[in-house]
Amino acid sequence: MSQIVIPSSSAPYLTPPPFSLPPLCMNRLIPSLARAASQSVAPKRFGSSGLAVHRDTEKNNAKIKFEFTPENMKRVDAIMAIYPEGHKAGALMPLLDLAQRQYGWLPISAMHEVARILEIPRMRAYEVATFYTMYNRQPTGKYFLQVCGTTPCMLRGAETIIEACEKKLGPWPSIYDHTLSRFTMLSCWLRINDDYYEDLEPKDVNDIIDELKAGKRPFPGPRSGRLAAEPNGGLTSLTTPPPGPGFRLQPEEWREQVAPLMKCVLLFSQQHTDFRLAELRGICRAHDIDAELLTKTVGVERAIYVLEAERRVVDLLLSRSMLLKSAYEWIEEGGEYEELHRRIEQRSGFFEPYNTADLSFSVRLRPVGRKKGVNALGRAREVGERLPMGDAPVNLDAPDTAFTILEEYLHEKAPAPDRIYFGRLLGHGQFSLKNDFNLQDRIYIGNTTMDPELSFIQANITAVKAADIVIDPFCGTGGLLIPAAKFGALVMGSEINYQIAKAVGRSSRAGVEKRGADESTAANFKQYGLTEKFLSVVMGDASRHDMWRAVEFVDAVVSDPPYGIREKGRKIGFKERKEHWTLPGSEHLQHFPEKQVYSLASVFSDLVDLSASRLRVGGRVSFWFPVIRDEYCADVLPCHPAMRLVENCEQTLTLKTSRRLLCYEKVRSPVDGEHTQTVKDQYAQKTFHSLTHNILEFCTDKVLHPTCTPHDP
Amino acid sequence: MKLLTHNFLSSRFLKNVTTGYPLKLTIEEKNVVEAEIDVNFLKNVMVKIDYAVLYEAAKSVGEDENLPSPNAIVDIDSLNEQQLKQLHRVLVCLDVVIGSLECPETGRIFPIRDGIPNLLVNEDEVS
Repeated sequence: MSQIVIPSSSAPYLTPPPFSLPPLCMNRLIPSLARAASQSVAPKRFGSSGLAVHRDTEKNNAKIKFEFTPENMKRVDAIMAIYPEGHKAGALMPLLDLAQRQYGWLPISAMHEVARILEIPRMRAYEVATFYTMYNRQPTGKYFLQVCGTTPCMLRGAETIIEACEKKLGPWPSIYDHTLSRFTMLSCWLRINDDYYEDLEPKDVNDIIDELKAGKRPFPGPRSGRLAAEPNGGLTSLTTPPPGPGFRLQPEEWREQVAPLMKCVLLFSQQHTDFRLAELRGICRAHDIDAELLTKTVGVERAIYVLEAERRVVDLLLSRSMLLKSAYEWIEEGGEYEELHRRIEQRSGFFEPYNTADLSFSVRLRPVGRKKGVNALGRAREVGERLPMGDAPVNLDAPDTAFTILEEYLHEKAPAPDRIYFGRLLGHGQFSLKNDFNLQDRIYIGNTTMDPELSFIQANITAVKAADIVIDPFCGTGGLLIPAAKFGALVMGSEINYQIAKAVGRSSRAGVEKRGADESTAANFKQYGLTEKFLSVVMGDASRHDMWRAVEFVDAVVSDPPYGIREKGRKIGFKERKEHWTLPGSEHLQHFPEKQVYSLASVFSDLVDLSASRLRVGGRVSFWFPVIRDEYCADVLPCHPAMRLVENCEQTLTLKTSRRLLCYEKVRSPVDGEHTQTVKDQYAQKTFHSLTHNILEFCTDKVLHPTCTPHDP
Repeated sequence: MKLLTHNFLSSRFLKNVTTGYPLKLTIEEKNVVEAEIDVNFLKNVMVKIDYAVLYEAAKSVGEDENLPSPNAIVDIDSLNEQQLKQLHRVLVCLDVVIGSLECPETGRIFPIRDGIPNLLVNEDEVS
């Protein structure tokens, strides 16, 4: 900021300089100030605050006494009354201003006086007085002109204003003061005493100074016709009435659909934990539910997780999941029983809706991670006695409301539960399906029929849903198709083995010689009441993809290809026709085609290729993939540019081997020439059977010759 | 084998066959599975199949009476009860026990026995 002082005697507060003073004339107005400030000649110009340091002068030193006038002392009290006790220092700026108005400028003794009144160190007063350019630490003239020269003002022509002032009043130096820039954006302004003049042109400066000389007070404010800080030339934004409340919010009817969240306790099976999250994600995928909230909270380390979810989502998971055992509405939890009792007593409001004569209730205890200890009943009773359920009858077998205490033991030997949850039962998951579909009672099973629990988990991970078309190219006795049908899908399978497809020959059951006449894949579906969902078993070669119509009609592929331990992989290769295949004159239907070994690597790449070509975009394929655990890495997994691996869950088989349930999702239709590839074929040299076999031999060697390892010298 | 299976099978894996779809269906013995009508289910299935092919298959086995014609069918909700019933019957209930599928290009017959179509072929028939 550049300043110019048009000297005069000091102007006391509330007695504004009369504008009828003698005409402004530099030469005539100088002397009084020049004398006062021990400086001479010409209009005195200095930077906004001059030096930041203080130098004692005759007129400005600590010995000169400063006191507020009695009238201003009242103002001091009034100003300080605004500030609460302990924050009186906040009055520093108004008091310095008051002192300046009383004295005409702000000598160091006035700062001292203000610091004394506010009981603050003098330094605080110095800091403020030197920082703000509104405090004049040297005497000023009657008219004190300041022009802002910071970058924005400069861009708007501050220099021409300074020039105009100079022309009118004589030269002055330019000193920039960044602290004022924020007030001055996009307008050049001139400050004269307490009045501000903006949007100036050189001509305006002349007019203003002329008016001052004439003893008038120029009308403050912008000179461009603006009223205040609005844009010049009309509004460029906010041109329409502002939108009311609710603008850009979801429509009312949408918001009503947002179901309230319920705090739930989810109890998971501790079996197959590697499949837990994959199953949840698959179920959510099948029902278009955002799984993120769920899978962010739920992990695999514990059996119990507490989270907030929509009731609808919890019910859906319960209707499908094998690994989610039960869900409870969370009521309370605690580290020990005393704490839990206390907390439950504070939640009496929760029980009101259930405390009626027409709703029975019970309190159950469910230890998790340990067997029921002694006095389990006693612990349940202690909680039950504390519930405000005086009106509701007790029914232990089939209660309407089943309150449950979940004792979570993190270690089997722990003497007391690590955490205790108390909740209201919402429902159980589908773990009972593994009994309903158990293999002992199933009419027709094969050597490698999948364990029912895993088969249902696989259907969930594959996101099978009602009215889906699901195929299994290696269907056997239909063990993987049954869960898909149970979830409402239409299922089809292909099987190359005539005996399995027709259910003839040796039975897979121990102690049973031949397959019975009633055995068939169709009979299995009939047994479970799923006949209407079973389209067919097709006898055919899975490696011939073109037995399926060449469009993307399949919603899901579930499979457990033969990996050569209990069932061999077989396909039909091309051969020239031979005379001895059929007797002369007969149809070639009687010839049973010779099968070739179907290598494991091509079984999997064919399966992924088939899925890539026949699945709809967004459809999933899942299959079991055997691996040698030590050699396993991402490179052995089949990959296809149109398929994205979404799940990869391990089930350990032996110390050395495991199988992984791989699930791929089709992200787009494949283009010509795209095929499944595997970076590293773990079956390039050997079959999975021989690999596992070799490992066993190797182990034996080691045991027999423990010292003969290659590393030994 | 459900009639619907026919909608998804082709004989393109045979040597020198370019399309192999749809196969020609003949039925010697059929079975009807009882099931409740689920209109929503029918709707969902209808978008996944080639209805014209299903219609032709039904026609070839004398099941086209009351079945909405492929040109006329626009919206399942607009079908009358009899049409819905018949659609349900061919989609869900009709089970082929004995019959055959025939390749439209080579005339190769694939027999259906015990409800199982046999698409296994000899080594010289595949490419």
